[in-house]
Amino acid sequence: MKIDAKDIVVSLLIAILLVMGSFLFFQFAQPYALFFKEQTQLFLFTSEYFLSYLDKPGTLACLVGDFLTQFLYLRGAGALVVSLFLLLEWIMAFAVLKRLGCGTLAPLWALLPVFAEGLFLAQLYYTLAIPVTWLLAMGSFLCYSAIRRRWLALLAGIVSVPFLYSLTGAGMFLFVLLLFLYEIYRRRGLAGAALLILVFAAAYPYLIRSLYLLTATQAYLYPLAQGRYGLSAVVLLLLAVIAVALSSQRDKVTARTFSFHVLWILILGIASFVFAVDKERETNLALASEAYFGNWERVYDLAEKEKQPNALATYYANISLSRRGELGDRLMEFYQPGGAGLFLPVNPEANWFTIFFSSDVHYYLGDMNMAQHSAMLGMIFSPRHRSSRMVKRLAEIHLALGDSAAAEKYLRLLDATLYHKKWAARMRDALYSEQPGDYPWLTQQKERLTTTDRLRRAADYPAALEALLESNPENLPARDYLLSYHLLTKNMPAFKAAFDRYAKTKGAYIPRAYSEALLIYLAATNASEKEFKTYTFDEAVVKAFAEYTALYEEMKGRLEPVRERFEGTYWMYYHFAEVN
Amino acid sequence: MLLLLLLCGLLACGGPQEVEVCEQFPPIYPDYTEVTIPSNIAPLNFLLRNKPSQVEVSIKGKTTGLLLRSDYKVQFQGRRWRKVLEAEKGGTLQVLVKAKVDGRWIQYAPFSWHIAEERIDPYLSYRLIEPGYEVWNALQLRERHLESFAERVIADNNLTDRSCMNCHTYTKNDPSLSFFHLRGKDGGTILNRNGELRKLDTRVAGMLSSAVYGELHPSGRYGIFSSNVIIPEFHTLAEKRLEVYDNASEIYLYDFDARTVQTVAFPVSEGEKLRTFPVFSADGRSVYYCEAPYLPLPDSIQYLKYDLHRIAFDPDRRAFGTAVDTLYSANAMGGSVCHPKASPDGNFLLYTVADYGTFPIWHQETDLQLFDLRTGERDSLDRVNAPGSDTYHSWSSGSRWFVFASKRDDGIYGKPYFAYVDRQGRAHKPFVLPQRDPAHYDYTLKSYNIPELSTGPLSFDAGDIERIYRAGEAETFTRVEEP
Repeated sequence: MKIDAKDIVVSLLIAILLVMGSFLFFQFAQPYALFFKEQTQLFLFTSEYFLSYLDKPGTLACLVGDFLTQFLYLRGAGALVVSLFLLLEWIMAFAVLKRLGCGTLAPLWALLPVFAEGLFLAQLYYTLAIPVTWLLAMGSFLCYSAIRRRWLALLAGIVSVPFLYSLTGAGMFLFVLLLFLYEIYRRRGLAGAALLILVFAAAYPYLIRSLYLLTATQAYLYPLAQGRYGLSAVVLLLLAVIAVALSSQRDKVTARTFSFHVLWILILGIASFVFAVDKERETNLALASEAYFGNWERVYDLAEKEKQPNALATYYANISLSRRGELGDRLMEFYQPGGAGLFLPVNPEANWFTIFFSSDVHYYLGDMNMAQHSAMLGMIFSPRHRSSRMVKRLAEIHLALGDSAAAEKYLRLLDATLYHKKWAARMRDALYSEQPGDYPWLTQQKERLTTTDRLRRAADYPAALEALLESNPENLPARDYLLSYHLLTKNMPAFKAAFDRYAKTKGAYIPRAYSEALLIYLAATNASEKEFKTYTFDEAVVKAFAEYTALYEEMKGRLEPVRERFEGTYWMYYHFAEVN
Repeated sequence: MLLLLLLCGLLACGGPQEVEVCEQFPPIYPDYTEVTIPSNIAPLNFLLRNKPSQVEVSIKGKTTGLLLRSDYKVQFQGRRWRKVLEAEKGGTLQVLVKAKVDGRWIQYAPFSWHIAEERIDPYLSYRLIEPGYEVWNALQLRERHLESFAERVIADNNLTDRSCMNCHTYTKNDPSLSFFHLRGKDGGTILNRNGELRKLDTRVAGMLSSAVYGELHPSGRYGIFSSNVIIPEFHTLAEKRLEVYDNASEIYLYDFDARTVQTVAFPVSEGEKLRTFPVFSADGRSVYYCEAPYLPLPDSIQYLKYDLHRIAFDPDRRAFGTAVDTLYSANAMGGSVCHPKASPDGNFLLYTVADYGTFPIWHQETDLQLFDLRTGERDSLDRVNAPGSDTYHSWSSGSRWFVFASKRDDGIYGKPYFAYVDRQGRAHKPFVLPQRDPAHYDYTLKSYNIPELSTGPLSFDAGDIERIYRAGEAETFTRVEEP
């Protein structure tokens, strides 16, 4: 076969541009989506874990995909792994299209399934098993189409159905459909057999599903969590159909036609990258991941910069404010969706994504029972029901509790991982250290633990916070969270009582949000001047409150004029925010 | 030269040289030291926590023995294992472990495996679930063959719309008489009688809830169940974790042939009562249950303590007795009883005792107690219990073995432990369900819930459960009065 030098240059150019574009995109536009994929799996180097991949179809695809996912823990590695996947997918798609008769346009067309893949790569349920599935299917097709003897090809086709289903899952369909096209339009002569193989392939997952304990839908899609993740394969098949249909015109592409194809494919490529970006999700994941890495200053800066109006962003903004002792002062500078910005709901209506992060605040405050409950649920409801991040959190919880047997349970799991075993070793040092002073973070966590017992419902946050404060009145984060919770749920009597009990100190500075709330309460209850004077209010705040009240009454509850002057005050929140 | 090399090679493989003697047992996991085991149990594979590079295990009985060399995981070959256990039935095996740690061979103190003459029922069913309460996502009921490592799934909630499944319970260890509750919109209580599966809607208007805790009558015709309003709450004190209590509970008798349900009319007593955990006696002519006076909850949770009672039952008339025997008085004894289970021979009653409340799995102080129904003596089972919750027990059909879920390892994940009761009624040190890979329990994130023994395999599988789940409406019951 004659290889045109121009084709080689074009292909090389495409490959370089694809890898560079993809790397830059995932490294700078969507890096946290890749970090998060690693956090929602726990890849163990144990024989039982490896064997567990046999329980479902797509054994090899899932094993390879999950193996590579663990590298996404490293900064930069995620973008590299994903880019290499896309490059491989392009090479294979290119080869498949060539095999089906596509001519000069093959390297360009092969980009389309890659772009389709790129659309979903950053999504929460998308796993790296999916590109591996397609790669294995395309590779198998290329091997199959190289078989010259017809009887051998027929045998290979039939055997491949169960074999490829067990190794790739849904990738088997891509293989069989490519085989069908190849036999019908290219090789001709095995068309009947190809049809039989197609029927066999269509029936096989349903027949075998009880072995894998899958529903019918799952049996056809596995390892794709959602049908749309198969878009890449669908695009490739459509291109394959077009390729075989136009194969007679393969050498008639002019420079002008080629340029036109370059242009529209380039536009599609850019569009797919643009569509793939979900800025809100990425910012949320950035906040959550930097919190996980312990970079709270980065969380603070990001929260300040982005000011995303959603509960998860607020949740991390509030923790970062609290860590700096600024929650009472700056609470109202951020979007506050009631109590949900302080405590992410953990209930049957909540989605797993927010449940996953819900343990962070409980752990920070010292409420270890809820931290454990949330972490366990975060793990149970995450797509694979196991998570390196949650296992680390569970280990930390039991470290703080001094429960070495339970901590060891989780540390042993981490010992069997590639990138978390060093962390486990460090935690073990802390767990058994005879010099607790060497681990101030652990000492602080232990000091925040509750020592009093009472029963409370999962969502009764004030009860938990009061128990923390009764055990340790110096637990300032718990105090700020209690006061803020009452403020954000507009429970003014509870706020006043909690403030007086846990925060009122003669002559001490009162943070802004608390001052504003106290002024509302004192005004609404016609408090005496004597009582008023027991609080050290900033005169400017008192003056502003008088102005606010006058304006509010003058405007008869209209939002806009009040917002112009008093945005970011608790008064605005109290009068205008709707709390569910 | 070649011969010399061969000789050196043989010597190197010939076993430990220059062995240091250690007076302690080897640091093995699971702890299989000094346990009593049945002759039909799968190999007790174990690992050494200090991860030696080489291990030599020699097992010696009266007539046979085993020698095994391995890395830190010791895994016995099934056929040889069975042979040794069969040959040494009723005797004792001495297990000597030598391990090469940091280049030095250590010989640990030998320990014993006592081989009981009585076999254990060869099948065990359990639910695998992440430890929590009323929260699930992926859960399965499984059946394990105890004589090997074979395990199969008998129900999987992936096939039933992720509905909750309660644990599977046999009657008298009979695989053709069992049930479990399958929740969810198309669920119901799945009754297995002689391999025929029925889906039952156990909730009748006016009841607190569908059937919760209970058991089938040995005849298979009746079921006795509690109906409970269950409240889960959290302790603020982290060591105590979760508390689950009933706000209300009552007991019902179901007739599966007549499809009727009746409230159990207990003799009139003072004040409102909470009654739960009903089970039949071995002969089916009495019902054991737990009872506590209603208290304002959760404030009085620490005073919520359940007595253990017995009431006569006439299966022919569907009628209950007019007097109640108290087998455990919470007032007098101080604890709270849960989950009574009568031994199949009718001689013993096994139950758990916690400090208070009705959900022992999260009470670390929960222990098993054995009540001799012939003598009225109570055994606190010191050799069986351990720190961490010990509960959810069931008997083997021969009444010489029982299995229970214990959280003794880490306080979080329950595992099935088996204990032997000898002819004198003394219980022996229990051992955990052996696994092919002895590191299995280190790496699993599932708890083994309600382990139950049976004499044979169940006749249904997860596919059958999926079919009955989707098969339409569950059978309903009509409420009747006690005759």
